[in-house]
Amino acid sequence: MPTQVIVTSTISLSDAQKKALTSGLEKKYGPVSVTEKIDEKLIGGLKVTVGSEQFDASLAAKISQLKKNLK
Amino acid sequence: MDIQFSQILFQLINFGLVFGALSYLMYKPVLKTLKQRSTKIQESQKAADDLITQKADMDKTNQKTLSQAKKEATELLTDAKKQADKKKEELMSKAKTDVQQYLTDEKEKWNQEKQQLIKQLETEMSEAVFSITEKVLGQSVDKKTQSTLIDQSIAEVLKTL
Repeated sequence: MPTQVIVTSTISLSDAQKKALTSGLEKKYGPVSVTEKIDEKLIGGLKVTVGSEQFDASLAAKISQLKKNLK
Repeated sequence: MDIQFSQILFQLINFGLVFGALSYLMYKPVLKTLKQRSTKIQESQKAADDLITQKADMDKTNQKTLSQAKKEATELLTDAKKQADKKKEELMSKAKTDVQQYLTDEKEKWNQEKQQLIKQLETEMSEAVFSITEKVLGQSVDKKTQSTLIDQSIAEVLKTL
């Protein structure tokens, strides 16, 4: 059964981007089923959720991390 | 002129009798009284002299006592003044120390408050800056840049895997 992956970004991914991401994820998780979501709050970049794991490479996350570091 | 010796004799006897009577009746009592008076006067004089001597002695004693009292009073006053000066100095010194301590404490308190305010201001300012940055970035990032950012994010995520 393919692993469920949710990809959240600010704009829709292009086919090349989808392919690159899918192929990278499959190397670790095996067959994956990607669901796309749009969220402008990310500002830029994307966030990948695989089960309980989350990889947040969005601009909003980076700004938030910067805020925490400066405190 | 015939000198009558009998008359003279008679007069002499007369005189003697009168003198004798007077002496006995008057001279002795009068003398006695005079003597008594003299004694009284002498006694009074002696008493007066004694009183004068006593008064002189008392004056001397009083003078001595007064001198002593004045001396003691002066010493007491000097001591009291010294103690008052000493107390005044102690109080001034303590007040000075208290004031300095108060100023130091207040300065420290002020510095701490200042640091807290600065920190608070920095936090608020950075939050405001981040908020504005997020808004500005959200509005100014075009599709091309978005796509580039997505590419970078994909690379980052795959690196993390």
